[in-house]
Amino acid sequence: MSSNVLKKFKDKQTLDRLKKKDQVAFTLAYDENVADIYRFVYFKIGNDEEAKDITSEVFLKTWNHIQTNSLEDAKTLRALFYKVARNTIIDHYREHGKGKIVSLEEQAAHFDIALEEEKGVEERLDIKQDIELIKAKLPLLKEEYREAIIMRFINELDLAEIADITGKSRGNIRILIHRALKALKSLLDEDRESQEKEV
Amino acid sequence: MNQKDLITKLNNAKHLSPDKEWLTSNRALFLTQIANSGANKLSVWQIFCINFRSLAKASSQPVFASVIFLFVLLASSVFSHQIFSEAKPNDTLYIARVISEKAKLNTVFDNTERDKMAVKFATRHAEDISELLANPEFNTEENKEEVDKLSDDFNKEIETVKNKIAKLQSNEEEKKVDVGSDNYGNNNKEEKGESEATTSSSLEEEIITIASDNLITEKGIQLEIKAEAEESSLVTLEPTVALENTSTGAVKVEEEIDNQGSTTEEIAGALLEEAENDKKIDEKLIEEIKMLFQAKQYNEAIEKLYQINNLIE
Repeated sequence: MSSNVLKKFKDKQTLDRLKKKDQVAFTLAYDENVADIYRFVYFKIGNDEEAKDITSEVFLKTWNHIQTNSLEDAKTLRALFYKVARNTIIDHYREHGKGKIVSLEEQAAHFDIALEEEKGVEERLDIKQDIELIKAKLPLLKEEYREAIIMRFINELDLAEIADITGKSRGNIRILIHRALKALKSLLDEDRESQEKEV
Repeated sequence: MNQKDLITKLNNAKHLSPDKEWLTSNRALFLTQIANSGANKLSVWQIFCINFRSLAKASSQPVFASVIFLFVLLASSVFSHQIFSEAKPNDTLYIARVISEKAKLNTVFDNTERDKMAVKFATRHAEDISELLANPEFNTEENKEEVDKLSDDFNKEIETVKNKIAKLQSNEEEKKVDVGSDNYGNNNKEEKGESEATTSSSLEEEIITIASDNLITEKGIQLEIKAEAEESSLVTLEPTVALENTSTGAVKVEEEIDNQGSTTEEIAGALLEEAENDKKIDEKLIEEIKMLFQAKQYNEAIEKLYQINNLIE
């Protein structure tokens, strides 16, 4: 209970400070969320350069939004960032056309794989391979499945947050996640089967 | 592949992050953009109000709310001084700082400790006022009223320091005189001819205790009392550095008190003379501070105030 109250307190405190145009609070919020928002955008649109531009735009838009609006529509600041990110991506699709998202591995992307130093060489190799696999298969999923997987398993948001961001109920989100996982799993199984047949 | 393995693979994707170069450059650009749009730093009071409101909203359960209330009540009575100690004279919380300091003084029962604490608080107030007035952004014609008020406050704080130091010193003088007359018998007179004074070890300890409380510091002059109880029972007063012109004129203090064959009256007299010198030096220091403040040499005044604090500590 106390950690829940502490979390609520911290979120409220950050939002209230931001309403007063507190630069320090927004800088802290930026540092905490920039990597998550980048990952969300990157896995959704599949292009590193565009993902970086959109990420920058998301934070600036959120800052402007906070100054001019009440924040009752977002329970937490993090939810607000994701909502603005989703809307910015929709605007991006409108301007540039949705296009076909090519496999992410085909692009020379500038990103780091930030691995903890404690991890062994083998473990680091496994992680890199997993990332490559996800990058290859995620674009093949439906948009809402992809979004659900990115938020739940990659950025590790909880069901309540995802429900707040997407405007759906928790039950719907649970079902959506289950279906998304099933779809991804079947893609991977098909892939493995076709590889085995070739061999 | 089972679902658990799949989820593990998906979790590993969280290790992917944008390159550090972009993160750094983007952060700097972003900070510039929000600064141009009117971002600012909140004051201590504003942050305190926000924290209080946020906590009130977060703790909606009645039991938790009452626990928090009791905790805040307890913490503020114990820690209010630490919470408000950074408030500056032009802050809204300054009055809270003054009140919490008064509350803390009332919890100290020893008179000497209370006076020392009062001096410490008053010198800190004086330092803060000087720092504020040394700031050209604050010390302007527009703020003349506030500047004049702060100058008055400064003078009041210095008066407090002066009075408390005088009180502390008069207490110490009484102690020394008592010790000098009661405990120093004729032991040294009886053993006059010998190469070493043979005061008792308990007397040495008392001399050491009293004399070590009277550490006199002025420019280039220091008197130290060293006890050499192990080798001999000799107690010596030695000048470490002599002579330097001060801004108020040349002050020379040359004292060599050889305890071999010295009488108890001479020791007590020397200690009283030390106390007199202490008093003169402290008064001189306080006058210097006043003069520097009036001459608007705030940084120099702050340095002198540090010396007062060091003397007290």
